[in-house]
Amino acid sequence: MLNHKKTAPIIQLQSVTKAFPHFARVALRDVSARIHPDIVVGVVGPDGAGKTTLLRLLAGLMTPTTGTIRIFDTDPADPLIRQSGWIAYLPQHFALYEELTVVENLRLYADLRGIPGKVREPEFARLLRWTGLERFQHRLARNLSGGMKQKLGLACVLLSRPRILLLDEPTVGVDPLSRRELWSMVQTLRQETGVTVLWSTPYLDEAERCDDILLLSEGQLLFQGHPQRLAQRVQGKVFQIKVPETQKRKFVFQTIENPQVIDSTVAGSFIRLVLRDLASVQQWQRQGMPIIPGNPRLEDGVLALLYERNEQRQQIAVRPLEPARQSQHRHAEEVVVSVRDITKRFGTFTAVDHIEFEVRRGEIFGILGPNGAGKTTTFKMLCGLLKPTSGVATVAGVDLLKAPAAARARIGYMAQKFSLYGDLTIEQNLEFFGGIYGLPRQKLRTKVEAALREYQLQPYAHTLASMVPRGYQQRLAMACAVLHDPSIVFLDEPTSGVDPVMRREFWLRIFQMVESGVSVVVTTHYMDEAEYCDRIALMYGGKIIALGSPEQIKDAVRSDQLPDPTLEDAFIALVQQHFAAMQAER
Amino acid sequence: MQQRWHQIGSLIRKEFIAIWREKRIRIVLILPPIIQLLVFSYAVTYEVRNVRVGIYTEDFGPVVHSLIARLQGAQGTIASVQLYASYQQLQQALLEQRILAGIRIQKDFSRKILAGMPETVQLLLDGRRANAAMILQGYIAKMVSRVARQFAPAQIRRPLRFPSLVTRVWFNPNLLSTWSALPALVVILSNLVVLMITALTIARERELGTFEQLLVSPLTSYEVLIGKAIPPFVLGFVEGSLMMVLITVLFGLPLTFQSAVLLLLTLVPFLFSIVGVGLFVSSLASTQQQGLLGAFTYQVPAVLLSGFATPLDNIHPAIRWIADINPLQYAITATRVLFLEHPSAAFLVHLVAPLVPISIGTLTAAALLFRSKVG
Amino acid sequence: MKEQGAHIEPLPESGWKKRLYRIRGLIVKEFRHVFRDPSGVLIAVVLPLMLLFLFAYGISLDLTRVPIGIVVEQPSAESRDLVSVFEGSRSFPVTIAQHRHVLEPLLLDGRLLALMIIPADFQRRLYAGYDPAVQLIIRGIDANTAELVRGYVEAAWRQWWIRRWQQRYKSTVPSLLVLEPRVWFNERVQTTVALIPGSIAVIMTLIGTMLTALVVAKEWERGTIEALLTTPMTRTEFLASKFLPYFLLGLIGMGVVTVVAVGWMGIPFRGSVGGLLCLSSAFLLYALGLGMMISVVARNQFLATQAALVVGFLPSFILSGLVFAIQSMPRALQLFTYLFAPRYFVEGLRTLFLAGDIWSVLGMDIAAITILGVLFWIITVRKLPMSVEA
Repeated sequence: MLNHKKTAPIIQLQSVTKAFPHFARVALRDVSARIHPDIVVGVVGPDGAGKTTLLRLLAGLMTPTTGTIRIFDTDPADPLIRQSGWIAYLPQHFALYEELTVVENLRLYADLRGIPGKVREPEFARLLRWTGLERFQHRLARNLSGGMKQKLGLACVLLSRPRILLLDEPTVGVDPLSRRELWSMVQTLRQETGVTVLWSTPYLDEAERCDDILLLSEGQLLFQGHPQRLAQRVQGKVFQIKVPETQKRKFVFQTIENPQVIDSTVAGSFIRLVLRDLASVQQWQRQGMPIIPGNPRLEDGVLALLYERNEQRQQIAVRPLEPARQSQHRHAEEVVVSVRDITKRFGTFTAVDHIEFEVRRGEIFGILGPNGAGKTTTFKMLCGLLKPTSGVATVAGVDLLKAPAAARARIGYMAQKFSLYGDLTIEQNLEFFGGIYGLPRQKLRTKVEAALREYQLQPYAHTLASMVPRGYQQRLAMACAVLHDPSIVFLDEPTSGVDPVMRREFWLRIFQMVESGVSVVVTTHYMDEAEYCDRIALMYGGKIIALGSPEQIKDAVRSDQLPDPTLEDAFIALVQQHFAAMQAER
Repeated sequence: MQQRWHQIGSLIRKEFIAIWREKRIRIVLILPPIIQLLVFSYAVTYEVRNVRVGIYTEDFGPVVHSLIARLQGAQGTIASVQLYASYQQLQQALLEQRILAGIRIQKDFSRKILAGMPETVQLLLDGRRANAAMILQGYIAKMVSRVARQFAPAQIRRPLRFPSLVTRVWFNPNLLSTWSALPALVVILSNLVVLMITALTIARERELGTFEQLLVSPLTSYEVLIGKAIPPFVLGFVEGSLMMVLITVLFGLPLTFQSAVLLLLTLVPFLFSIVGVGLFVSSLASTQQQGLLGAFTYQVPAVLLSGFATPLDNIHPAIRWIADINPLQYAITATRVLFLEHPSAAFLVHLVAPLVPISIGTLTAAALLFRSKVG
Repeated sequence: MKEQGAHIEPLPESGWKKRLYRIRGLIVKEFRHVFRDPSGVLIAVVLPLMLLFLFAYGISLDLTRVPIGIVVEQPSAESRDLVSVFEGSRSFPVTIAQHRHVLEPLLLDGRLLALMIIPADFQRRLYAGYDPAVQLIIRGIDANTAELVRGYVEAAWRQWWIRRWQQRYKSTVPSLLVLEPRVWFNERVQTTVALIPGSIAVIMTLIGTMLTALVVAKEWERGTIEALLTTPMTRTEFLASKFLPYFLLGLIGMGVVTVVAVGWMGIPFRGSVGGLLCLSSAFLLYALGLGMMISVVARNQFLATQAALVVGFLPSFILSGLVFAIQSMPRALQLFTYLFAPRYFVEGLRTLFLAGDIWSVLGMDIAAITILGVLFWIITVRKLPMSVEA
């Protein structure tokens, strides 16, 4: 790798400000930065920080309100740059033409980029092999999983062999396995072609591996530099505590409320703490808890920096439980969701293949698996949206497909895709969902007000749901799903694409729910989140390949090479094992 | 029970907000129907007005002068009478559509008429505009025979005189085409508004993914349908009534209070049958585009076979049944009757009655399809 | 990836060739879209044929039956003679009564369209040389039908008088002045013959405007435009790729409809194929331009279809002279129709089918359509944003 500090910057931003008409908030405020060639730059920051705006400006899709942007010493909106194909941009939701097949999409972009016929076939073959889409090349784009769509999108924009690659959250909604694949694809690409990559992501573990990061918050550039530099800001304030398995969740729950604690997460068999001062360390040591110093990570540094600027986290106080709910608390062992040998086929394709599991009251049950493993299909069968081809799924003792509609009032459902009414305001959405679940008028009013308060939605109460940042949309979606006090809640990737601050907040809410006796079934791509689940079902190819507590799952892959595996390690190892077994069977 | 209605009420309220929210959609729902109502009502006429007639004459006697003067004097029907220097020029003008009819008068025309000798006049008509041409032919024939009578010798003038047929037009004394076009347009346009909204309502939620949220809620599929049916119905009803008030005020159609009430009652089964059609289309469609095309596939034949523009009388027997189940046809007849005459109760019931089974039919079909699609 | 390391060099291809690739790629994509979604086939094939058949068999400006009531207050030889004219015609199902109050209710509820009242002293007045004072009452609920009814009854009335005159005066010349009408281009005066060529204008507007109005709006709604905009594709290429497939589709639709109209429905075709091609190409330029302009401005499928309906479909039906004569409309409205190309297209089509290649007519029509079409394309190019702002 070239020492980029010595080369001339390839991208220069000079006090770039971008404001949109009709929006009070400025999307980017006075951002100046230089980006050197041949590196991967992570663009990170909370929702609405201006990441997408920055990438769109660099792609020449917009022009700054004030300030200048130079790429190769040229304005990115210059038609010549566009013609050259030197800048490739993969939008957040890269809109493939859904009616076209994989190879037809490639062909379209090859035509658009003017790739001549003779190099085309080898080029397609290379990209298809590289993305692992060879087997699916004649599948319609609409039938691809999220990860496959992103890979295909990446392949499409790489056809022009760009010098600068702008990727807007390419790994959102993508499973850990595909995420690792995408990352290594981009790394090899950079090494071999010397492309400069701007990679925006809500996953800070990805950003940590970048050569340089840009941290944006509310339109301002808070930090630029090597991720290690940011991590070092919390050097000496990171600790790991060994807590008994059953206590882990409770411990996180308690520590996060402590104003001295910046962050508290489950990491393997430890609890990882980032502290503001070291007073509490002694306290825990006095309690005889084994506590060892940990390595600072980028995430810690980012959170510390964000909290420095904004004390907001303090407000995410967990409210005392309602007495009414406490009464139904913990009829442990009572089975609320029971899945008995269900299968779902779409034509010849088996999406879910003879799976079985049970969820007990007050339990957090996680369903993990790569994209296309059948998680969402399972969810939909549980909620009565899809009819199983065979087998029975009961929720609260009834089959929702056959049960009277009123039985559905006991469940709450949060879909994977944002599926609230974008043309209603936040408050109207809440009122609507409360209304169709039959909350009486007076109660509805108080419930809606409580939800607005509790989910901190008041500032946006009268804003259209389609206009608020994604994190707020997710908050609203969750608020709507639980407004009617369901006893079982289904959350399909509730934290997908949500920034780290808000993700923690979501989990606190989930903890709070289960404490009051609600059962939660959740899917997620964040492995650190999976640690919070009581039990996990790991799905692959429509089957459950592992089922048990996080500890049990990790035990399954524990070996000399991996003495203390994280869940992500376990996940990847198990999927690979299973894949190998399947190959061998063939 | 009350709670169920409360639940459906939330859905209805949401639908209203969604329809009314965006300014562009609000405008699209209100402005075009009113503009179309005003513009098209003037366009929809079979009357022949302002046409141009050409004459090539080889005779310049008094009879010809009188004929030309009469034709020119026919203000309204004939805009201008053009003289051509040769028969060829006359033909060319007809060919190029500069005139709708050409009259050729031969030599000695005046002399023969004055002498009481029979004579023929050649009339060329443009068959490309067959309907107007035929009406103009009748008109010119009348003119020609009047001129002939005027100049014919006294002894044959009397028997030549055509007895007059004293014609009166009931319900529309001046035979204003706007009077019958307006009530029909009101119905057609409210049909359009209602159909477009309902045809999109479910398809849109499917496309946006919000539909699943509705399905996991305790609402039954019938309740969802009721919630989806009422807002477009109300909107169509209000818009229809507004347009009716508008045409009564602006065009002075003779509407009494009693018939106004009956008119609103007629709208009810009509709009419900359209809501049924729209929901049927919407249940079938998985995208908005399909929904819109489906609505269109329904709307075009419905208007063509409604008796609005052309009489239904001459319809081919093979497609007669389409007209027979077309709710628009019944609604147009009923509104026209209510606006222009004061029908007996029995007659009105006879006109409106078919709408009841039709609306039940479309709503049932929509409900069954919806259920089967939702599973 | 290793083996491909050398591929960084820009590919040695000239500019125009790349441009051709781009356009070709977009066009291929567009065709796939149309034919993979059933709605494309619906617009391109099913709807045009459905409309054509509707115009041929569902719409006609002729009345075949005019149910008429005749009140004969006092039967006489002369009144019988008059009634026999109506009874002898198949167009007039006749109901006879002696008192008007018997027949008036039938007129009220539409079972009769007209009522003729022959007064008691009909014969006496006729012989005395007075006007016989026969009354005709027409049901005016549908003014256009009433207009037709009046024409039919008056024609029968004239026929009766001439026949009577011939019989009484034993003259071979029924009238001093005989009008000898000849109807050019449509010898048997069938309104269908005039309607069907004109209806092609409605069909073409449908294919052109509706389909294109949807396709561009869809790119915006689905967000695919964002990815396209970052490619070297230019405005012209984008528009060309939207134009050519639908242009071709339109011509195919035109061909199918013409073949069915001429081959099946027996509509004469006196012009040349070249003429038809010129005329319909010009119109497709207009229709596609209008649809494109709508969708670029609306960027929303719902609005785009509504707009296409309001400024595309309905004017082609109502303001084109197809059914309702333009000269009969109020002056202001007539001027308004000059802005809508279907007016010229209907005129051109009728001329082409029924009269032949009369270039003095066709030339003007084509010129007018082209001017409007080019205007829409200019607006489209101006309005087509090449960035994602606002």
